[in-house]
Parts: sequence; structure tokens; C-alpha cells
Amino acid sequence: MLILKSLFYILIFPGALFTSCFGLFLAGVDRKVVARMQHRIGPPLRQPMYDFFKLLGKETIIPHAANKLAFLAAPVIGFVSLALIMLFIPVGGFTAFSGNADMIVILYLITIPGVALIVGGSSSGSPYAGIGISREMVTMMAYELPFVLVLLAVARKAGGSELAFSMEKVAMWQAENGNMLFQWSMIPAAIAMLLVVPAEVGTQPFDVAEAETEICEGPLIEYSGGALGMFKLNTAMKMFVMSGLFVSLFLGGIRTGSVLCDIIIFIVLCVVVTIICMSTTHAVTARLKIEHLFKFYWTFVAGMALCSLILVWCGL
Amino acid sequence: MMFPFLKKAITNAFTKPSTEAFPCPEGEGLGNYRGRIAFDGEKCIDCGMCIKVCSPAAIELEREEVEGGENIWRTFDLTSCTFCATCVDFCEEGAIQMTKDYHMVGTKHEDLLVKGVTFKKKIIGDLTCDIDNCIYCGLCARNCPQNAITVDRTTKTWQVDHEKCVKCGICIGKCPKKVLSFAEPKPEGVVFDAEKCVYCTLCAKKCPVGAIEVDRASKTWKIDRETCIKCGACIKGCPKQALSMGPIEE
Amino acid sequence: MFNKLINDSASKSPWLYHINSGSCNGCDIELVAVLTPRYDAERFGFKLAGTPRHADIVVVSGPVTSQSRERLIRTLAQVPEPKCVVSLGSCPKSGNVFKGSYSVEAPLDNFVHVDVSVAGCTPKPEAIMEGLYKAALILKEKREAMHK
Repeated sequence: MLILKSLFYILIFPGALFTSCFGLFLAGVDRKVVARMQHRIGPPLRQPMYDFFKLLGKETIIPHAANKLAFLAAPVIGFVSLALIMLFIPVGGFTAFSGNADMIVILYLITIPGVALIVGGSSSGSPYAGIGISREMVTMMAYELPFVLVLLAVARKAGGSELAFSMEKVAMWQAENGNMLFQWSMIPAAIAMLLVVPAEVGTQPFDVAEAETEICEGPLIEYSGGALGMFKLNTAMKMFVMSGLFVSLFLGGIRTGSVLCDIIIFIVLCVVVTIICMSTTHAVTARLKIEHLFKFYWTFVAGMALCSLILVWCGL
Repeated sequence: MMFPFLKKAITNAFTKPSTEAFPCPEGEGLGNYRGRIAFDGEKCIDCGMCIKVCSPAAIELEREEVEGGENIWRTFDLTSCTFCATCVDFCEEGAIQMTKDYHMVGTKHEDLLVKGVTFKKKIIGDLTCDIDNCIYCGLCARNCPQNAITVDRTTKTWQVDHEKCVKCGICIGKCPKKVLSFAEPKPEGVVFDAEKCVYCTLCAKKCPVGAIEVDRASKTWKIDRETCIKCGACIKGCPKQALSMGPIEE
Repeated sequence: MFNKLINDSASKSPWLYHINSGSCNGCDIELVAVLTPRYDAERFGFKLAGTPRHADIVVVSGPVTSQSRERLIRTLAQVPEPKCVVSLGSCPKSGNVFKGSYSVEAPLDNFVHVDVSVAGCTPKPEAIMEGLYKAALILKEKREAMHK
């Protein structure tokens, strides 16, 4: 019974199927909102789903110079890790797997899709991919620092005098004391997290790694067919996972009584977060260069998170 | 960091998009847009000017002999056309027009060809000029699409190269004195001036085929037109220049 | 099981890749104008891909110059099936005014089967969109034929 329940959690809700479906939905919302902001009609909301199925129908060409195993395994590894992260995030107060150190696990798991992209890119054997993966590595280093500081701040706030790394504890704290976003000492951390989310997902202005016109799509240059479809699905799922993480860390105190309503509110809040931090910045900014990106994350964003951490550590 | 487009982006999200509907409701270009070619075969006079001025050589002909003349199939290849409208400018009769239709998409080559047929009656005569009334203004030469006519005002000559002439008839329309026509060519032969002749019979002796008969006593001069080969030996031999080559009455 | 969905998606999400084989850039400008807010090709799912490996529809402009011929053939070989080739403008189809030149090897039909040709010099963005739409429908037929 426990095994069946676990399988249900892993495969259906809130694991692979739930994350993929709503990830594709969020990606569609993002494209539609960007189009509307640019004063045009834009693709239908189901467009990423069409993209994914179309890619499944194309042939997968493996280049001669590529390492076949790493080439084909990289997107699958990314998909699996993203499906697993969702199991630790409280969706409307309901967590599939909970422990004492959820945040540490999430921190490790969330680097895996980035590493999968790097492994896939380097195994394809193209020099453009080489440039792309070096930029991806620098981007990951850039946003990991403020991300860790934000998690520390939230953990300290929720835990009182000790650090509460369990997401369940954070959710319960928010249910009692009000949402984390409304504590004035956590506002800088919220802003920092809102800026970390687009860098993780890889939308403009932080998509140096996958610069389309510059380096012919960077690490994904030699991918085609089903493998590319998995990578695009990974990006969509990451959108959902990151905005879900933000919602559960800062807005996780909303309880209406029924689990279904909570889940719907969770999804709506994810959509709002996506529109604010991913679509709006996509529509009004240009791409940052890698030096500027690194400087931005290690000065401004890390500074905001550090502000919050110091305030929280002082007991406020 | 400044975000100059933020306000515009947010207001755009709540206003109607500025996208045109598809398929486009107007269906044609605006103003004097040069779109698909429309060719009216009935107006064409086959002067050949369009083929001469077309820079990508997009116009092709196919001639088919029928009773009473020929059918000329003119094809405008839209996949070769550069839409400069020079053919429209140079077409005398206005048989070529450019519509404003811009929908030129095809999966097969035949979708993108504009064809038209002209029936050209057979013209038996060649171009002739009534030299007596010609004023040598040169309008016919200037308007000839194939440069077949040469007119010189100073030496008062009018010549036509029958090989180049396509019998389009533009020159006939342009002539202010109406002296040009496709007349049956008047036959030429040896012309006899009776006043100058002294009946010396030198011409009869010079004639290599024996076509001339001269009688000194009865003062007659006869020529057998069928035997005459128009070599001109008699004209050269006449001491009184009573013979010349010119149009004769049959 | 998902075959019908995959076949339908082939025409709803065509990704473009543009190759310029010696064009004067007029047709290229009109092609990117198709992706602007006024003509918005993205509402049908069209998107410019950065690499030929991601493309479904390859749009070729320009008469095939001798220098670009080799690169054109190699790039076209990198596009995965099913693919559609659209010739943009009158240059790839016949060479236009450059016919017979020593360095021009039009028509494109000599190198690859052209599915849709959009005539015009330059074609209007509305005409280009019609051509791309037709190519997207041909993609669906090709996908169905591939996996019968």
C-alpha cells in the first residue's frame, strides 16, 4: 500500500505528470503574456504542448563526434531530478515526502538539471556548445550564492533560534504567523528570490547560456527530436518548480480548508509569480552579458539576501 | 537600472493587439503596388518590346501555326519576374497590366505562370512607304521596337529591313502623313523611257538571256518579263539612260 | 497511442530556419517582418530556431551562389525529417536577373526538392505567411506518410 502510494506521489501527483502538465501550462502563459505585452496576439496557451509532441515526432540525429550515452541520458536525468524536487515542496500545505533537511535536498537536486544541460552540451562535441556550457557554469555559480542566503534566512525565521530546514515546518510557521512575504525583514529576501528564479529557468535577460542568435542555441545545438523535447520539457518544469518554491517559501500560509482549493490557489499564485518575475522582465529587457550577470548577482541580489539574513539573525 | 518600456508593456497587455487578421482581409496591396501581372492577349500586337526590355528574361513565346495566321502563346514567369513594370511602361497597347494582387504562392511551377494567347492574322505584304509623300520625319524609325527602319533626313532615304520587321504596325499608327502600309510589294523590273530611246538595239545585244526585242524600223521596244533575270546589263549598256530599275505595272 | 496528437502537432508548431544563399537581403527583411507584432506569425506557432537541427521548415532566399552552394547542401542535410523547404522570392526559383551568371547556380530545384515557392521581388509579408502556412500543412502530410 505504501509502495503504491509512493508511486502515485512520484509519478502522478505531485511528481512527473502533475509537474509536466502544469509546467507546460506555465510556459504557455509566459509566452502569451510576453506576446500581449509586445502588442501582438501570441501563440495559444497549449503551444508548448504542441512543441513537445512535435519534437517527439522528429528523428533524433546523433552527431558523429558525440558520446551517445551521455547525449541521450542527460535530458532524462534532468527530468527525473525535477520530478523529484516537486515531492518536497508543500503544495497547499500537503507535502509528499517530508524530512528534517528538505531544503538541503532541494538545493542539491536543483543543480542537477543545470548539470544535465552542461553534460548534454559537452557530450555533443560542438564548439558552440562549449561556449554555452561555460556560460551556464558561470550562471549557476552566480545565482547559487543568493539562493543559499535566501534559504538560510527563511530557515532561521521559521525556526526561531535554530535553523528549520524542513519545508513542512516553514509551511506550518506561515500558517500560524502569516505569510513570510508580509514580514518586513523578509522583503529583501523575497526580492532576491524573485531575481534568482529567472536565472534558474533561463529566461531573458539571464539566458546567456542559451543565446539563440549568438551561439546557435548553445548547449542544445546538436539536439533534435525526442531528446530536445525532453530538454524543453525540463525548462517548462523548472519554471513550475521554481515558482512553486517561491510560493511555498513566501506565500505558503494560505489555508482554505479543502486540499483541492489549496492546490488551485497554489497554481494561481505560481501563475502570478511567473507573470511578474519571468514574463515582465522578458518583455522589457535585453540579454545581459555574462560579466554583468555575475556582477549583478554577487553584488545586488546577494546583498539583498544578506540584508535579510542579518536582520533575521538579529532577531527581527 | 532603468526600464523605459515597463509602463508601455503593462499598458499593452490590457489593450487590443495591433495584429492584422489572417487571411488578410484586403487581399491586395495599397497605392500603386506592383503585384501579379495581368495579360490581355487580345490587345497584344506582338511588337516584341516587352521581351526586349525584360531584364530577367521572364517572358517566353510559343508560336503555333493555324489557319489564317498564327497563335502566339505568351507566358509570364512570375518566379522569374522582378516586378519592375518596365514591360507595362513599354507596352504600346496596354496589354500588360500589373494588378495589386500579392498572393503569389504555389506548390507547383504552373501555379506561378501567367499565360495569354494572341491570334495574329497573317500579313501578306511587306512594309512599304509612299516615298513621294514621305517627309522623312523619322517618327517611324524612332518608334520601331525592333529598330528595323532607317530614315535619313539629309539624304532623304527611307529603308526597312524586312528580316527584322515583325509587322506589328506601330509605325503605321505613328506616321503623321499616313504613308506607311503593308502593301503587296509592287513588282520591280526594267522600266523603259520612250522619249529618251533612240532604238540603237544595244540593250538587246547586251541582254544575256535575249529578253529584249527592239525594232528600229517600227520603233518598238519589247521585253519579256518572264525571261528577264533583272541583271541590269541593259541598263548599264544604254547610251541614253532610257532604261532603269523600278516598279512596273503588271 | 499518441500518434494522432503527434501528427496534428507537426503542423501546429513549425520552427523556421532561414538560410541566405547570396540574397540581396530584401527577402530576409520581409521574412523577419513576419515575426513582428503587425503580422505575428507566432500565433500559429512559428518560431525562429537558432540551429538547423531544431528546424522543421527551412526558408531559403537568394540565388544559390557558387560560394554558398557547399554550405547550403551541408546545412540542409543537417535538418531532421520531416522537413519542408520553402523558396523565398524569385531568386531561388529561377535566378531572377542573375540568370546565366558565372557564379550563380539557381534554381534551387537542382539541389533539394522545393515544397512551396513564394514568388515576388520581394514578396509581401502576408504572402510569406501564406506560404509558411501551406508549408506547415504539408509537414503534417509528410509526418503521416513517414509513419504509416
